Amino acid sequence: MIALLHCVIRDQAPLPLEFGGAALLAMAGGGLTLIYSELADAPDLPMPESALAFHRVQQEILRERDLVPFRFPTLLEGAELAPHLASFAEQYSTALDRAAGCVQMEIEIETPPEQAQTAASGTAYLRTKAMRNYALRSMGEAVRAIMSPPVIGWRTRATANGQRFFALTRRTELAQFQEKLAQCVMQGASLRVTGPWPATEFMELEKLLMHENAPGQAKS
Amino acid sequence: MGPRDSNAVLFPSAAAPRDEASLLDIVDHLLNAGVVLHGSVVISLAGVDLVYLGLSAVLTSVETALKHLPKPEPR
Repeated sequence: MIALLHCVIRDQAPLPLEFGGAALLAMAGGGLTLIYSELADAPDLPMPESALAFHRVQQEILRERDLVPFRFPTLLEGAELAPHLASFAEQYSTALDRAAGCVQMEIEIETPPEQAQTAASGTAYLRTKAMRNYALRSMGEAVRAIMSPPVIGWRTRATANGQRFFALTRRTELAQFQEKLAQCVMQGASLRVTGPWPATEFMELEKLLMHENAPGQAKS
Repeated sequence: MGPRDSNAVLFPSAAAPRDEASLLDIVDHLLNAGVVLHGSVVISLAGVDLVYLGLSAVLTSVETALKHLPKPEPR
């Protein structure tokens, strides 16, 4: 049997959800529950239908519970599930603690890229670029000031045309998040918001699970 | 300069931002966010096993790939 891993939650009964027409399965251990689906030995996972179904399962669970998501598709042999959960229960538990009761909202601020071809000179181009960076920083600071609270944690990443903010927000304060968001208006920039997502940016999964290969060879 | 001094942003407005996740957003999260187990996978298409892939190296977005590429040596 091949298992498609969905997520790890605190030791709770799984919600009555389905993936691919079959009920989700659960394996408990170490105070946690691993949620997974059974697949055929040679799984055929058509994109994007399977990915969307996988996403819907995680979203339904996230609506009520904290979770550590697996990337799609993460596959393990059935016999590897229990050893995996036993080996990494502490790391998964730490990840869940870091984002307890919270979800991740994402805010992208983008400005039109400066046009090197139309600049009168190299200096003019660099000056335009510096002004754009300054404006982006100011906008980011303003958004953060407006949104904190309800946002209780931030991560920021530069994108090609702007900045992407990851906002840690309590699940119970999403309505307040939306209210505050309505106060943020960009001039000369676009603001795009998505979420809620599992709070992976705050779990530091890569550090927690750096030595993931043991036990057994994962078949992801 | 405090954020409230900026004249680039702020002000209440009726123009609420969009909060819809597109398919691209969803795929981005499915491939980039969450636990990744280093291993391999048999990709099956129409019931035929096609490729045996090192998943963590292949099934990833450009952003993730760039994050894991070695930094160039200083000259």
